[in-house]
Amino acid sequence: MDENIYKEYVTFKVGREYYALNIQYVQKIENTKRIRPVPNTRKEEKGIMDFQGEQIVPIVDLRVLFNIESVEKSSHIIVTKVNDVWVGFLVDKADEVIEIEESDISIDNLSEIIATESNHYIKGIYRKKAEEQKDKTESEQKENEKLLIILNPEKLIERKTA
Amino acid sequence: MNYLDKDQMLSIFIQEGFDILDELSNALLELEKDRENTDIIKEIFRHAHTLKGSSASLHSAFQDDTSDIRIAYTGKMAEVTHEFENLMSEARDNGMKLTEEHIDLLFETEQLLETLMHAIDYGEEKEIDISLIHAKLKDAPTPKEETAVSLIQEETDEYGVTFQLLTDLDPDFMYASLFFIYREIEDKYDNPTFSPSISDLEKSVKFENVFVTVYTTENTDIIINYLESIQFITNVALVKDTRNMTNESVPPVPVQEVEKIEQEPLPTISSDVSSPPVAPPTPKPKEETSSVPASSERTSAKKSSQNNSIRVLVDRVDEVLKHASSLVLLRNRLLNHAKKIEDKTLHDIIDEISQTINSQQDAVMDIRMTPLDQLFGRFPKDVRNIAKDFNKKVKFECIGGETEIDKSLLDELGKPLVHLIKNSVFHGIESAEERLAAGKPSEGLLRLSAKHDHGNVVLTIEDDGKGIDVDAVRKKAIERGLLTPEKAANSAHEEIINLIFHPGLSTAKEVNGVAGRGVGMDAVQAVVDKMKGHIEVESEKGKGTKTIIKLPLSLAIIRSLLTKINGEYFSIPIAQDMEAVEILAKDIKYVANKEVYFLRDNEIPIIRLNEFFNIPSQHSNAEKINVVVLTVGNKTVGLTVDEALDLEDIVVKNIGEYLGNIRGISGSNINGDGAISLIIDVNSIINPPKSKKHSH
Repeated sequence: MDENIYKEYVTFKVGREYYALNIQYVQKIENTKRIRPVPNTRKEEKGIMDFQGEQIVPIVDLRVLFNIESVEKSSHIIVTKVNDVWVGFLVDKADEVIEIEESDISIDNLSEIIATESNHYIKGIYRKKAEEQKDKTESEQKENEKLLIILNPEKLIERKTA
Repeated sequence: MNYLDKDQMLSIFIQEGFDILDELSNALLELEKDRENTDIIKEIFRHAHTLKGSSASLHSAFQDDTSDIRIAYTGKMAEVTHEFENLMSEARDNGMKLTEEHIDLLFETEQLLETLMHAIDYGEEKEIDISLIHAKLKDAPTPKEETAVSLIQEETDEYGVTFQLLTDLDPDFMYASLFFIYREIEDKYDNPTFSPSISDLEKSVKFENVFVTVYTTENTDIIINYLESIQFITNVALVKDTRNMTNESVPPVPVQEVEKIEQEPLPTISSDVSSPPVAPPTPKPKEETSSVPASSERTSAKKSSQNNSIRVLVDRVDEVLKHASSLVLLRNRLLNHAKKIEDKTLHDIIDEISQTINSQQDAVMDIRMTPLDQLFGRFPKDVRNIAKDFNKKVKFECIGGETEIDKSLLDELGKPLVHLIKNSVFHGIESAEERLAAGKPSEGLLRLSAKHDHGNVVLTIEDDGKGIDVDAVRKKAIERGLLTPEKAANSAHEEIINLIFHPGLSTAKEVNGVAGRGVGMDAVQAVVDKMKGHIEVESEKGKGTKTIIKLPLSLAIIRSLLTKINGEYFSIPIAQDMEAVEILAKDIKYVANKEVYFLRDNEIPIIRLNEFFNIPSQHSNAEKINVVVLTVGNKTVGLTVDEALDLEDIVVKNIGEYLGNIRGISGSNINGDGAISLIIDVNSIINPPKSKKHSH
C-alpha cells in the first residue's frame, strides 16, 4: 500500500521521548490489562494478551526494547498488525493522532540525536511545532515543541533472534 | 444475483480436476493389471471426457483473457484431453487392444495433466510442453465417436421427463456457466441429457433454448423445485413427461447396495443435514452397463453416492468452525460464571446449551474430517513410477485409507509421506538380484497403513528392504560430533537409529545412502512437529524399516488437562495413558542426578515444569507433589504441576507469529474465566530439539 496515502500517525510517549507510528498499522489502542507472561521468551516480551476474543497478541515493552528508563506506569498498548504479524506495544501513554507530511520527516542527523542501538527501528524525525499561542514567549513556544521519532514498523516486528 | 466469476470457476475446476485425476490414476493402475477390463476402459474414457469438457469450456469462455496464464493452460489441457479421449474411445467402442506402450503413454498423459493442473492451481508461469504426448496420443487411429453418441440418445429419450430451463446467465459466460449447471444436475440425477449437449457447449454451438431430460421417479413438481433452486435458473417449464406413470414398475434399489454406497469414503464432504432431500439413486430401467451416453459421464457407484454430498469450500467450513469455537469459549465462560449462581432452571438450561454446543462442535469437526484415501490415492502411481525408474520390483499395499483426519493435517501430510515412501523405494528396497541373494522374494513389499489409536491417527510406512545400518549411523554421528564414542557405545539401538532425524546426519547424503535412508529426514520431522505429532523409526539391518507417525486427529479443538503453575494456567493436551497422581516428595529417587519416581514398578523420569519454564512454584518444597504422568511415543514422563484441575475441550489459538517457536509451548487457549492458558508442547519437553550447532 502506498504509505503516502496515510498521513496520520499515532503518537505516544515512552519515558521522556515521543514516538509516532503510521496509523495504517494500528488496530487499536487499548488500556493495559492483564498480560499473560510466556516463559522462555526475551525480556522485552511481556507475554500475550487476548485481543477482542479473536486474536492472541504478543506484547512487547518498548521501554525494555529501547532501553528507556521510566518511572511512569505503562498505561496503553498500541495493538498493531504489520504484514499480518500482530504485536502490541506497551507504552507509557498514547498521546494523539496527528498528520505528518512524508516530506517533513527528516532522516538526517539521526545518529546525532539518538546514538543508541534503537535507531535501527527509526525511520526519521519530525519536529512538531506547538500551536501558536499569543501569550507565550518564543522560548516558551520552543519548550512546547515536540520531537517525534517516527518508527519503522517493518523493523519493529523483526524479532531479534535469541 | 452473482455471476460465477473466473476465479470461482477455476477454483471449482481445480478441485474437481484433482479429484478426477486421482480417480484416473487409480483406474490406470487397474487397467495395467487387466488391459481388457471394459469397465475400467469406460471409466477412463469418462474421466478423459469430463476433463476435456470442463477445460475446453473454461478456455473458450475466457480465451480473450490472454494475460491469464491459467487460461492458456486450460487450453493445453483441452488439447491433450481431446486426443486422450479419442484414444480411449477407440478402445471402448472399436475394440482396439491396448498395449503395454499404450498404458505407459496413458500414465505419461496423466502425469502431464497433473502438471498442468498444478500449474493452473498455482498460476505459475512455466513452459509446459505438451507437443510430444499430444503427438503420441494422436498417433492412435481416429475414432468414429458420433455413432456411439446418437445411438444412446435415442435409447434414453423414452423414460425421461424434459424441462425447458430459463436462465439469467451472463451471455459472455453462457457456455461455461451452463456447463456448471449441467454438472450440478448430473450430481443429482443419473444420466440426464441436455440440449445443447455438453459437446455442443464445448464447440460453442449457438442455441436458443436450454432443455434437460432427467430419468427419475420423482414427482415433476419436486424436480421443478430442485431445478429452480439451482443458481442462475430463473424458471423451469415442463415440456414432456414420457415416463411410465406407474412408478412401482421401477425396481427400488436394494438396501444393501445403498448402504455400501454410503460407506464408501466420499471425496467430498458429506452431510446429512445440509444436503437437499434426495430420492434413493434410481437406476435407469435400461441396462446401465451396456452403454454410457457420452453426454453424461461418471455413472459409477461413486458418482451416485455424491447425491448425498455437497461440495463446500474449505474457507466456509473454517468460518463455521470459527463460530463453533467461539461458542465453546462462551460456554466455558458461562459455566464458570453460573457456578456462582443458585438457580435450578438456569443450570438446566445451561446444561442443555452445553450439550448442544458439544454436539455441534463434534459435528463441525466431523465435517473437516477427511479420509486419508484422498492422500493415499496418489501413492500407488508414484510408487509405480519410482520403482520403474529405479528398476526395482515393489508391491505396494495401502491399508486403512478410510481413516479420517482433519483436513488441514491431511494437506500437510502429503510431502513427508512422499518423502518416506521414496526413501523406502530408493534406499530401503534392494534390487531384485540383491533380494534373491539375501533369500528374500524378488519383489519388495512397501506397506502404508493408517489407523485410529487413543484419539490419534497412527501412520506406518514399512518396507522389507535392507534396513538401516546402525553402525554406519553411529560412526557418522561420532565423526560429526553428535555423540561421544562413550555415549555411542552406551546408547540403545533405537536411539542411534532415530539420529537420522538429526539435521547433522539427515543432510549428509553419503551416510544416508549407505545407511539406507535418504536425505531430509529432519524436514520430515519438522513437518510432523508442526502438526504436533511424533515420529520414530524402527529398523533392523537386512530385515526392513518401519517409520511410525502419530498425529492428533485435529488441531483446532483438543481435549486437555487444565493445570496451574504459580497461579497461571497451563493446558496439557491429552496423550495416550495419562493420569494425574499425587506423590510424596520423599518417594522421589535419583538416577544419574535426575529425579525418578516408581509408579506401579515403572520408572518414570520427573520433569519439573516450573524449572523447565523458569518460573517459581508454590509447591517446590512441599511434601506432596502433583504429577501428570503421560506417555508420548515410547517414553513415559511425569510433569510436575501445582494443581491439576479439569479435563476440558479447548480451542487452540496460535500464539502469534512474532514470538516464533517457544520452547515447551505450542499455543494458547482462553479459559472459562477469561484468563489465557498456555498449551504445553509435551513432545518438545520430552524430546528436546536436537541442537544444530554440532552438525558441521
